[in-house]
Amino acid sequence: MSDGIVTSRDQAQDRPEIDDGRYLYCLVDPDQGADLRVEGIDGQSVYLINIGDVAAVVHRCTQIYDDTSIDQLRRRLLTHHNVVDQAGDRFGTPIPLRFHTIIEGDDTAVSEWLRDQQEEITDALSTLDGAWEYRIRLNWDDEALERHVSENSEQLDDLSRRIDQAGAGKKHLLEKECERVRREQVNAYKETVVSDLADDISPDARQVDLADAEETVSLAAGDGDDGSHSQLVVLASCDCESTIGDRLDEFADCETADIQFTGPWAPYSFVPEFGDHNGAK
Amino acid sequence: MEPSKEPEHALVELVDVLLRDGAVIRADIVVTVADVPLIGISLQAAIAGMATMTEYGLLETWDHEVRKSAAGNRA
Repeated sequence: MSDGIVTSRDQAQDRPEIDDGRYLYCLVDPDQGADLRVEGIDGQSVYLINIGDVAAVVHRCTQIYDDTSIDQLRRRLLTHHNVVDQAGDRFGTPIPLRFHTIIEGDDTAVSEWLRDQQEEITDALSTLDGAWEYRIRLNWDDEALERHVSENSEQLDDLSRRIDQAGAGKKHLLEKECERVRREQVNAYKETVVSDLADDISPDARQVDLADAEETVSLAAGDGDDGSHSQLVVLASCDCESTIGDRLDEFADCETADIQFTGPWAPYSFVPEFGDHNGAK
Repeated sequence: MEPSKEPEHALVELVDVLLRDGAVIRADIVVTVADVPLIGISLQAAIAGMATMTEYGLLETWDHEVRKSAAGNRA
């Protein structure tokens, strides 16, 4: 390996190999349902490993899924999501696991881990019972944002007047200052809108968080989303869904952003971390 | 406004979530690396939308080190 470039040979040498493993989709409370009939990743048979109070939704695997094309990854992600979704319909709110979580060993290995973590898993299932994740995305219209800020800012008005009256040299500096102020005020306005929206929704939700909009991965074909966006993730019961939607209708008239409301999803953003047999985390 | 749950929305909305969120199991029995899905390096760079060779090189070095560490822990 040189200059940080990894050859395919290096990659193959570091790749974990497994003889027998279990791909984990999610953890559920099996008391609320009997079985689950859904096809897993790459057509694998999905089943439950059940220790009584908790169960893991799994499929048996003898490979890891790192050697893939974008299309294949897209299919596997959707399949993972579909299995978790079906499990949620069957058993109630599941604890969804991160994509590509594979435990080495057979069903006994998974059962042992479930027993070791039973209390934590049961607590998490109880906490999340009846709650689902909703995602609210504000796709900002950057031109409308700048227009709104420019029309409502005395500071930008003043800078504009000074630019008109300035000589060539000073004009350039003032224009740079004007850009900086406009950027700051646009960001402040966006933060205010998002904060007000979160405050408006909070009474009807268990938890409202601002998602990190900087880390965005796109697998959608032809995804040309070049605009900025902000995102809220909401943990709420289905009973509150229409109330939250009503509040978003009030914001839908906002000229500076288009609102997308999706869900209910399994609560990926609100689940805990689990440790090992020794309880280390 | 009613929430949407169409498959196309699932992929756009959840690809970040599926790759980075969800419960993490930090245990020796987990084969895959908890902090990053073991997706092929070139694919990972592509889906992250890395624009520059410099960023691509850095990502590969980091990813290689993480995989090496995981392989060492399992040895």
